[in-house]
Amino acid sequence: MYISSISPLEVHHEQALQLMRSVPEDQPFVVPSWFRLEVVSALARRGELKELLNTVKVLVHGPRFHAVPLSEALLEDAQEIAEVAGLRAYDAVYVALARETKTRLLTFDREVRTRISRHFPEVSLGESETA
Amino acid sequence: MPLSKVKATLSEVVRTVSKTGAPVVITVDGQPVVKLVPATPPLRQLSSAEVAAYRALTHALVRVPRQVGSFDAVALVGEGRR
Repeated sequence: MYISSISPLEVHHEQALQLMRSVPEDQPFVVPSWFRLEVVSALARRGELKELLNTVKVLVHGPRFHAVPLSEALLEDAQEIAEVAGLRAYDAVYVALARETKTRLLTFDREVRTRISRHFPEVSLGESETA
Repeated sequence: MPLSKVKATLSEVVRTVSKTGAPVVITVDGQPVVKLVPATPPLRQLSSAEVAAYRALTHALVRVPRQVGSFDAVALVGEGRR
C-alpha cells in the first residue's frame, strides 16, 4: 500500500494514494516492526536510487508510522486470525494489529477484505478494493 | 524512582507507564539501573510540526528521480516474502 502510494508508476498508485489520504494527517499508520525493512528492501530490489531510499527511510522511521514489535500475544492473535479466516501470515499480522489498536485496516486486496468481513466484522476496512 | 518506591507502588507505576508511555527510570542507591518502558508505545496524534515535516518530505519525494516502467507493488513485496 505505502509503496504504491509513493510510486506514480505503480499500477494501483491512485487507489493507494486515495486510501492513504483517507487517514487524517495527524493520525499514525500502525505497522508491524518489519514494515520499514520490507519497504526499503522492495524499493532497493526495484533498483531505485539512493536519494529515494534515503528519503523513504526518513519517512518510515518518523512518527507517522507507529511500528509495533511482534510480541507473543500479537503472534498468537495473528495465528488465530490466519487459521479462522484462511489468511496469509503477513496479512494476518496486519489484521491482528488493526484489531488490537482498533484502527482501520488499509488494504485493497479483495480476498483479504472478503475474508475479514466474513470472519472478523469488528475490523474496520477502508473503502477501496481491487483484485 | 527509587527501587523501594517502585516495590511499594508497582501496580500504579505499570498503569502509568502503560497509559502515558513515559518511561520510569528505577534507581538503586541513587544510581539509574533499569528503565521501565511500555512494551508498545501508546498511539498518539502527530503534532502540527510533525504533520508539516511529513507533508514536506512526501512532497519532496515526488521530485526524486525514479526507475522507469510500471510495476505491481503487491508482486514486488510478495517476491520479497518468498
